[in-house]
This record gives sequence, C-alpha cells and structure tokens, in this order.
Amino acid sequence: MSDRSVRIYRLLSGLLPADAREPELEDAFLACLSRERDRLGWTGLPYVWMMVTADTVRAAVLLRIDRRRRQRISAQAQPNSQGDPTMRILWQDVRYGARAIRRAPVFSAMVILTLALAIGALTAIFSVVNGVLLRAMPYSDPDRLAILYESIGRSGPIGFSAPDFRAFEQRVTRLSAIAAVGNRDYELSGIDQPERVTGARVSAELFKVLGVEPQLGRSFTRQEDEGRIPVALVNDGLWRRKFGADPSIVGRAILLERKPYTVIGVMPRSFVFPNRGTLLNNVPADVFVPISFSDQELTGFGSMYNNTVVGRLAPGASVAEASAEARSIAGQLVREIYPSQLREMGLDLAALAVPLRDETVGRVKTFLYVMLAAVATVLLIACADLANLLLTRAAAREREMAVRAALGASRGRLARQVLVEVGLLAACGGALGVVLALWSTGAIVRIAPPTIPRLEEVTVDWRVLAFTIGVSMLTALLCGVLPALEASRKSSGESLKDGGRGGIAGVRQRRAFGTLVTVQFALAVVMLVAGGLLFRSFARMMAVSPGFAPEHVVTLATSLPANAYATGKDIRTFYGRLLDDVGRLPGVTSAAAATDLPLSVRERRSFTIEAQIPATAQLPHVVAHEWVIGRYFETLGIRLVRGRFLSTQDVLQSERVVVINNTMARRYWLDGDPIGQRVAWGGAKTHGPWMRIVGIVDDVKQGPLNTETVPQTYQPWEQVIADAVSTELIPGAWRSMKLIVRTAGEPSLLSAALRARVRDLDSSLPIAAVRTMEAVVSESASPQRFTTVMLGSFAVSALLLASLGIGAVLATSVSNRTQEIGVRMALGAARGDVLRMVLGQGMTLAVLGIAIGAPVALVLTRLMSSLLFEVSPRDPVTFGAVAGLLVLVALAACYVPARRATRVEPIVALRCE
Amino acid sequence: MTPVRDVDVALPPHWFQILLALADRDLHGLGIMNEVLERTSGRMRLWPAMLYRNLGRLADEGLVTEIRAPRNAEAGGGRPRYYRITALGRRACGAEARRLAGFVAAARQKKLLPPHRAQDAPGGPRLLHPVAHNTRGGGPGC
Repeated sequence: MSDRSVRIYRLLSGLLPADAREPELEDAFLACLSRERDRLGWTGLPYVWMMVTADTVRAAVLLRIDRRRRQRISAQAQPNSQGDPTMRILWQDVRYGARAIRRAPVFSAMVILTLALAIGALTAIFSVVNGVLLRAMPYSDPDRLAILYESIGRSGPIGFSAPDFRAFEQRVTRLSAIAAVGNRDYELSGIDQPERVTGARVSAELFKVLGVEPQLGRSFTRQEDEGRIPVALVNDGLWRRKFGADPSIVGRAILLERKPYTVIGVMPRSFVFPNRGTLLNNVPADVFVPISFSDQELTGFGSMYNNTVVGRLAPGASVAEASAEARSIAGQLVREIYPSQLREMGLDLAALAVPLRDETVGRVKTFLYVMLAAVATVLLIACADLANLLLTRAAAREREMAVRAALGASRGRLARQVLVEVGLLAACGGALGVVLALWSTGAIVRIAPPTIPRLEEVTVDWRVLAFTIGVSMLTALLCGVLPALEASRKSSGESLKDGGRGGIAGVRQRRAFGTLVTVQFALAVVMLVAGGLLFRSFARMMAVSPGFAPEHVVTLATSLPANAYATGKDIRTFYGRLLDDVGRLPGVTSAAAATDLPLSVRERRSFTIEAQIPATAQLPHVVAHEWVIGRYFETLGIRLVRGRFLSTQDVLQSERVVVINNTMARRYWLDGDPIGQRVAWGGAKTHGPWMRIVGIVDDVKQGPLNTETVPQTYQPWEQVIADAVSTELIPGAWRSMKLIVRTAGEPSLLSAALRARVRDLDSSLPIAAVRTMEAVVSESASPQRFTTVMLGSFAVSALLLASLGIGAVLATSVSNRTQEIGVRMALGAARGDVLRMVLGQGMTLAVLGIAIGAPVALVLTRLMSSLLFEVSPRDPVTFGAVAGLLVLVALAACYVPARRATRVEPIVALRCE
Repeated sequence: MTPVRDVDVALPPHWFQILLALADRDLHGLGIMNEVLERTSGRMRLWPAMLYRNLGRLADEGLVTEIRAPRNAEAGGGRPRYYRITALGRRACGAEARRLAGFVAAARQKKLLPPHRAQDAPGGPRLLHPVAHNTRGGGPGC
C-alpha cells in the first residue's frame, strides 16, 4: 500500500513547480499518512488523500504566484524588464472564477459533487480497463508470448498430452522455447493451519519463456524436472501469508500432499501465472512444482490432453507462422510417433497458437468496453444537466456580463472567464473524483467475479491519472461551451435596460435547454435498452433449469493425499465410511459423492460405440464424464428418463455399466434406444473395456446456465478403483471427491457436523468450506449478475439524471415565462390549458429524445450481443418497455413544474418584473 | 535584495508556530511538522506542500534561512533541507509572542482566565528564549 501511495503522491506532486519537488515531501506525506491512520483508522486514508490533494493544488498555485512576485520584484529593480501579460490576464481570470465559485458555495458544491461522482465512476471503470486490457502483462516482452492448443477433429481447443509436448519441444522452430503447465490442487501441511492451495506443475523452461526470475532463490533445472526431484517455488502472496515473508524459507521443506518438497525460491510480487481467462489451467498458482511427467503420462498417446503450452516467439516470427508450424507438426506426430492403432484410426490431430494476451483477456474485452461506454454515457448526461444549470446561472448573470462588456471586456474575454470558472469546477470535481475512484476501484475489484483476469493488476497509475485529467478538461469544455457562448453575446444595452432577465435570453436559452434535454433522453434510451436487455438475458438464464433440485442439498470438497492413501483400498475405505457416517446424521435423507459437481464438470473423454449408427458416425465422439458413488441421482433430484440409476450392485466384479444423459441418447442414437448398447473409452480400434448403458437421465448443466448442455456419461466409481492399484496410477480426480448430501432441514446447519465427520476419519485433512447447492448455482451466474448489476446501476443513474434534467429545465422555463403565463390566463386561458401547454413542451422534448435514441440503441446494442442469452439485441419488448418507462418518468418529472405554472396568479404575474 | 519585514505586523498563526519551532534549534520540514503538531496538541496540522511553500515565503521575508544539512541527516531521496531562524525572525516571533501575551494578560484582567502562576505553564515554569534585538522595547507588539 505504501509503495502505491508514494507513487501516486509522486504523480500528484508533479503539479508543483520543478524546484519545489523535494524528496522529503514524500517522507512528510508518509508521516501524515501514518499519523492519520493511527488517529482515524480506515477513514484516515481518504481523509489524508483529500487533504494532501487540496494541499498540493493550493501550493502549486501559490508557489507560482510567489515566483511571479519574485520576478516582478526583480523586474521593478530592473526598470527595462517586461512581464507576461497573457499569464497575468489568465491569472486574473482564475482569481475571478475562484471568487465566483466562493460566492455561490451551494451551487458550486453541487456541481463539484456531481462531477466528482461521474468522473470518479468513469475513472474507476477505466482503471479496471487499464489494468486488465491496457497494461503490459508482468512478463518480459509479453507481446511475444503465445499459447498453444491441440485439437482432435472438431473437438475444439484442448490441451497437450505429455508425449505431444515433448515431441513439439524437439521440432518447433518458430518458437524459441515452449513450456507446459497444468493446474493441480495440493494439501499444504506441516504448518499451523493446513489448507488446500492451488498449484501448477510446470516444465523447467516456463520461467525462461516468461522471462521472470524468482525474487529469492532460483527456478527449476531440467534435471530436477526430468529427475522428478521434489522441489517447489512459492508465490509472493503465499510466502507472506503463511510464512511471514521469512527469507529463510529458501531451503526449507514444506509438505504438499504430505510429501516433503524443498522450497528453492519465491516468485516476485507482481508475478501471476497461470492467468484467469484462458481456456484451460486458468487458476493462478500459489506453488509451482516441476511437471515431472510420469511414465504413464509419457506413454499416454491419444489421451490426457491436459497441459497448457506457452511459448515465446523466435526473433522475427509471427503468431500466424507459429500457428501454421504447430498445425504441421501435429500432423507429423500422428504419422511418425503415434502407435499404429491410433494411426489407423485416422486421428485428425491439429494444433494452433494464439497470442497470450488475447487468450487471457479476449473473453472479457466486450464486457469491459461496454461498461466503459456505459459510464461515459452517464457522464455525458451529467454534463448536459450541468450545462443546463450553468446556462441558467449564466442567464442570471447576464446583467453582470453586460456591464463588463460595456466597460470594455471583449467577447473572447467574457467567454474565457466563464470557461475558466467551469474549468476550476471541473478540476475540483476531477480531483475529488480521483479520491472516489481510489476507493471505488478497490470495491469493484473485490466484488468482481473471479472470471475477470488480471484483477490483481488493477491500480490507479499514471495512465489513469492522465485519463482523469483529460476527462476533466473535456467535461469542462462540454459543460462550459454553451454558457461561455451565452456569456459572450453582447446585448448592446438591452440586458441593461430590461434588468437582465428573460427576454433576449428567453428564446435562445429555451432552444439550448431543449437540445440538451433531448440529448439526455436519447442517451438515456441507449442506457436503459442496454440495461433492459441484460436484465432480460439474466432473467432468462436464471429461469433455465439446471437439471437437478438444488434446494436442501449441501456439498463439501475433499481430497486425499497420495502419500497417506497409497492404494485403492485406502481410498475406498475412507469414502465408504464417510458416506456411511454422513448418511446416519440426523436430518440426512441421502448422501453421495462425485468427481465433479453439476455446473462445473471438467472431465472430457473420447469414446466409441459398439453398434455405431452410420448417421452419427461422423460426429465428434467426446463426452463430459463423472464418476459417482452412492445415490448420486436421487440425492441431487435428477430425473430418470428410462432404464435404471447406478446402484450398489454395480461393483468391480460385476458388468461395467454407465448411465448417459438425454442429449447423448438423442445425438448418437437419434430415435433409437441406447439402453443395453455398449460403449468404451478410446477409439474404435484402441478402446478400453466395454460398458453397458443401463439408464438415461435428464440433462444436467455441465457449465453455467447459459452454456449448451453436452453429452454426458456417469460411471460407478467402484468399478474403476481396483483394491491393489498403487498411488502412482490413481489420478487426482479419483482421490478428490465432492460429498453431496440432501437433508430434510436447513442445509447450512449440517456444516459443522459434516466437517466433524471428515475430521473423525482424518484429523489432518484441511477443512474445506461447506456450500449449499443453491449457492453453487448462484455463484455460477456471478459474471452475468455482475454485468447486469453494474450496467443496471448506470442505466438507473442515467434515468435519474435525465429526469432531473427535464424537470429542472421545465421549472426554469415556467419561472422565466411567468409573465407570459399570467397574460394568457388574464386573456382567458384555463388552468387546464396552461397545464397542457407546459406538459406538452416537456413531453415534446422527451418524445423527440426517445425517437432519436431508439435507432441509435438499435445499432449500438448489436455490439453487446455476445453478452446476451436468448434475447435478441433488437428485442421489441425491451424497446417498448423502455420507451414507455421514459414517457412515464418524463410525465412525472414535468408534472410538478406544470402544476406550479397553473398556480400563477395573473395579477401577480403581470406586476412582477 | 530581500525585503525587510516590519516586525510589528502580526504574523499569520502558522508562521508564528514555524518560527517558534525553529527558535531553539535548526530543523528540517518533517521536524517542524512534528513539533507544531505536538505543541498544538494536534490542532494545527501542517501539510507537506504548503509547509514548504511557507518556508519559502519566510525565507523571502528574511525570517528564516536555509542551511546545509548536518552530515548524518537523511531523508527518502537524499539530504533534507534544514532551516534556521534569523535574527529578524527572532524579533518578529518575539514581537508576536509579546502581542499574544498581551491578549492573555487582558483576558486575565477581565477574569476570563485565572491569575497566572508559573507552575501552571505546560511542563512547569519555562524561560522564554532570549531575544537578540528589541529596538522597540517591551510590551505587546502592536
């Protein structure tokens, strides 16, 4: 925090003249920061920033005055020297503007606060855009990095298998080095509180490819990788959190999965890898261990495509060239090194390369730019409101301007004075906006869904401050240009004669007001349509059935370390006893376990059908897959379509069975009946043992609710884990089961009891969080919810600002036309006629704005179609609802001033000036 | 030529506090900030940029002068600037102190304050720092 604060203060003190920027200013600033935090707690930080900003701005101005004074004094001592009249005049304008602001403190405070909120919101969103999309990634020359994927037929991008990666290492030329990475969770123990940490198995070249060295110690050697030496690197966050940033951690042993690993280094603070946002292996790691492929992995041709490969482009090579070469090499591998059975299958293996940055942030680009555009639109609407307010004030000061013009002030000078005054307001609003942005950026990062990558790099840096300054200047221009033009019109004494009110300003002013309100409503239409579409999309998504009944169900993740659970029998014993114990808990109606939960099924397998129908032979044969224990379908409330569920009779010794989902049945058997048919893992000529299909269940979502359901299979876990299979051959998935428990009562009340049952069986296992399945369903929608809430808030702000705008304009109009209304009523107009006249004026502006905004929204909302689910960007219901809402809001906003107009007493109105 | 300040013109309160901090020793900016904060029990907070601006103005008026930092002095980015009160600064500070003392005496006369006792002063009885010159004689500076 201190480093960041000093960096920001250094940027702020750039406002001071060069000779005043002392290094000890930073010491003094840090002393103030520490003192106020001690005194005020968490409120000390915003207080200090506010005071320090005001202090620096004030000193910057006064130091320059002091310098002028010294120059003047020395110029007086040298009679022939000349001053700078332009700067003198500008300084006069600044002092005049500051006096005008001080004379109307409430008005000025309102303007500054409105600007601060709007500029602050825009700055906060921009700092997220800056951190995620614009800042360079924390690697050396990051634009030369690429991610490689393989694919089989039309499977889409998948990872690399171990033998394919090793072969690519030998053959690739357009990449100077490549490295493989695979995420894996580990139990970290041997410390106070054991916990599960995210790890990454990485090949030794990774840190060379990324161009990053540890801040302490060293990275892996190839010998350690291939020699399967248990060494580890920890990331900075884990080092500080669990080891107190103790430098003696290098050389110390830590227990991962209860196996000792020697820590050989600590990665730098800014280092994050893997990145969120990529397709696979996308969880930032706390620990890094050598990938040390097992013999089974290295001979696993045609399977286990689990590894992400990252590479650095060779000098002069492009991503397109690397991608073409990767495709060519993949084709060679099947012909040259794959076993003959796979060759005869005609395996269509391909590979491609994509830039690392695009792969990391490409999926959130649209969302972030839509957010930025939305908050910029709110700022524009706020500017229109403020321009209206300033125009009203300019009209009230018309006499003052006329007097100044009569005394010799040029039109340009009058206009400049108004612009400088608005500029001062915008500068104060911008400065306060930066302080608000500092706070709100932290809040946005905390509530943003974890699917947004690089959030840890979001910070307020020089680019953000430059953006804020630019926005403040543009805001000053937008808010001030109309009032400045208005102020500069010489009224040749007419303003002086009529007391400076209404009259000349009337028609021009009404036209300007009307234009601004129309623009506000047009922008509000765009915002509300965008917000409405997202809202409908989110509602549609949440209405999608997940395929199971999440109410009254809890889940608890477990993972058994290989060292302590060396055989299949150990694992079977643990989960068998756990399910028995849990099943006997009061209130529990059913218990089960599975390798994945609904909405996050990660396993994908290729398969073959014994009696393949020719019509579906060309389809990619890849399914999502889960291994399950116990009464899985009954516990989750998944409906049986045909056949039977898996049961306790399906054991290792009985026939291998599998249950499939509706999508798989329809896709591969069309109208036929798959019950009784047999399938196997692998290809037609290289498959594993046959499994008989015994049941078809309803589709359950394998990903978020807005993703397509894919074919899925369920296999009894009992039929996979043989008793005597050694630890080395049991993949982590089979040792990491998710417990699923249905209860008659409140599911969250089971939490302590479930954890206690796990602790009873193994007190060293880290305690995982217990979640209800309803929370799991809700969290799966958190990205869409975040988008909808953010854009919805901006849309509501736009609506409020637009309605305030039209209400204020109409109120001013009524006030300015009091005499006219009085005359009309005196000549016989009824109050109803006056009401209709005023309402008609307001509604004309609103309807015109809606009519302009609707076609603009039609065009712009196409850009956000990737954010929508089952809703067209031209959805007529949304457009109609928005138009109706705006008409109602405009009516409500116009009604108050219209009613006030009907209360004008003709006699009073005719008398008043 | 540095304009000479009329010591009988009242000093702004923060200038008085800065000069008072420098009355008995040379200090750098952070030291002045801390002493003023402590002496005023947190009521006067000098923020960095304006403090240095005020020190510049005091130097322009001839009330303080910048001196070389002691050899062992260090700040974040190099040797800090140290300041010393000048003779003119002492006179101006002394005159201001006498002026304020006169107000306190008036308040005691009107029984707004209890009669003065030496042991009532914070830290017990203190000696005022001797003033180098006093061309106008004693009494409240006005």
